[in-house]
Amino acid sequence: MEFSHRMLPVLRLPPQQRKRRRSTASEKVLADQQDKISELPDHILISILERMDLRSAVETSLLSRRWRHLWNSLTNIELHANTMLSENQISHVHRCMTRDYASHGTKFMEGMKVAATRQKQMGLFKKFARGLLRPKSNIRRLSFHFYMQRQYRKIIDFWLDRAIKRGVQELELFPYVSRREKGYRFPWRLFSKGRGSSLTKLELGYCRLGDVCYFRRFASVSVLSFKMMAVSREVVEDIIANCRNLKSLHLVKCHYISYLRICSQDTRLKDLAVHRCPFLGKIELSAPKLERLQYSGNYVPLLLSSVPCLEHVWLDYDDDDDGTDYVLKRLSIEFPHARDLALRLCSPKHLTTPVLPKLFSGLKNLTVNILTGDTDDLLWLAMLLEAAPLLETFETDVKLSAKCRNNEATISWKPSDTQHSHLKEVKLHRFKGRPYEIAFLSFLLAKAVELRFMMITRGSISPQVGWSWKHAESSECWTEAEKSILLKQLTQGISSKVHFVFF
Amino acid sequence: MATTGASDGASAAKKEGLVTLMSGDGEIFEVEAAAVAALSVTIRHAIEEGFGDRPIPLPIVGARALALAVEYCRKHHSLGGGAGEDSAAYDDELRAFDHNLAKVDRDTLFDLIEAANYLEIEGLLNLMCRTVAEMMKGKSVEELRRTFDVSNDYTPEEEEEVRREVSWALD
Repeated sequence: MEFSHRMLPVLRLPPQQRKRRRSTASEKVLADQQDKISELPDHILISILERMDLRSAVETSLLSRRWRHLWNSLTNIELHANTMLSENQISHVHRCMTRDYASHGTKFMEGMKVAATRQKQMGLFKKFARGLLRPKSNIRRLSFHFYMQRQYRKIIDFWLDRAIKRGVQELELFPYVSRREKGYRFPWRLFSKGRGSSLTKLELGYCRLGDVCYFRRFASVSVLSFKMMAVSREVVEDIIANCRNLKSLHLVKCHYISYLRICSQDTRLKDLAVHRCPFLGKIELSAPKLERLQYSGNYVPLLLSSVPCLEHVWLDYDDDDDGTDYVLKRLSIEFPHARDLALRLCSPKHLTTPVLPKLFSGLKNLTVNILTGDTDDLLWLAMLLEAAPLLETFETDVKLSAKCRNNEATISWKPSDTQHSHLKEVKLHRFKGRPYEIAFLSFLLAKAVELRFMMITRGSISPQVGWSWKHAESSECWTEAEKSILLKQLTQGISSKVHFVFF
Repeated sequence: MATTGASDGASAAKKEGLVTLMSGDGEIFEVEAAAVAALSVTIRHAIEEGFGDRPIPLPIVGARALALAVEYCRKHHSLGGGAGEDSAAYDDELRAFDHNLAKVDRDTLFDLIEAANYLEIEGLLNLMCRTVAEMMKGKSVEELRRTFDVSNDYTPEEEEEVRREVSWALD
């Protein structure tokens, strides 16, 4: 067989690289010791620059001729006030303030440090917003995070207009104002007459939508996110009715809304996240394509109808009792299709009689983050486990808190004798070696006959906006002795097929 | 999952599910076709075009870089099912593997970038680009030149001109 055209390697190299490769052997030895980075093709160097902050990326133009114009091809314009200053610059500002205001007392000086740092950041923001005007490349993503000042309105409008003209796909605009001030008013007019139709992702924070919204101009948008904004029930209904391609809607700390209602047979919404909206009292959902629901905040009633695809559920309750009550009593009934479930709860203060939750008939993956009193055993975990007979992976992070001091009265609940024959993987975080933890792990090892993998970490996990967990590693490392003692404790008297990992 | 292409009768694969890769310096690697094909676009195409039973020549990829790239594919295929790092399947073990892989010495790092680019392994290329970006962050121009042996080929006048062009980004 002939070499196919695609497989001819020389054809696949960019021209300048081919030229460089035609070097004699002696040159090659020399070349091996130097400047491999500049030999990389443009698209890779640009991709490296796009992973740096803009200042550092632009600064590389001083390196050599090869680097001079690379930054002009950046398509990701990200100006974030709080990352504009380097550590050195911040400490320089702080030193100046300490010097100038030493006689005014610490509190005043600290205030001045914050003010001076912010002023410097904003000065840079303005400088960058102007300096970046030169490149004529397309703008794929525009992301501005800054402290709003009245005179910036024009700069922002200008940049939005420019980004729209250059085919912007992702727009993130977070002009920070404190709650008392008036925020930046979102310029709907820039999106009239079909402009901005390349937009697929719009994330706004601290902006004002104004009295009249034109969401029908965002028919192409698939991801929409609002943070710290006044969003009403009507705005959400307007969005659902007009953004025909919307797949993902996030509301983060949005005030005003008290009743979130998404009821539409036509919506393509797959992912809904509602985080800490303070006045929210009720959520009603009827969306046939909805797959993921994330909620965090105080317990609110969920009215669900016609959500056949809702398989991934994440509930993060601040409330002590209502949320936990709901999880233990109603959750498996309300979410019959749940496959993945992530929960963050406080262990209940006044519940003393055990309530075994109704069975989760399809649950495969469960992650539980519990805040509990230090007298509490891990009974709740055992209960949830018993209620999910098909569970395959189980991950926990139990945090002790003095706030959740439990009743002295112990709860008598005995797990049944049935074996757990599907559970394959267990991860236990924030391990401290308390007797309850060891007892719970031994209980798992005895009960889950098919268990293959057990990971025990000292680090913690905490829920993040966007269906991800933040992993924090612990500073303490496992010593070999600690590992072997624990292993001995856990596998005492049973022959275990489990692969243990300590982290 | 991609198949080995051995199904078209003519090429009776010598070993089931394996594919042979030949590095630029002539070293031969026998690797699981499914793992590399799932992550490397180049190798997937090569297999589809009937390279399933003959060594696939990879002229610009050195043996060491190829070994690492293959290891990357294996690991990500078996643990993550080739999924990106945003997915839930990307768990601690993969994270630790990537973390260690990024610690290679500088020359190997650039060889790996070239390899990932040639083999079109997107995840590896992203990982390595991010690693280089991390190495570059917070360094002055002089420090960058020293770290990466970049020689300054500007004339003093040119350099002054560039400095003026980007003065807004400098202190």
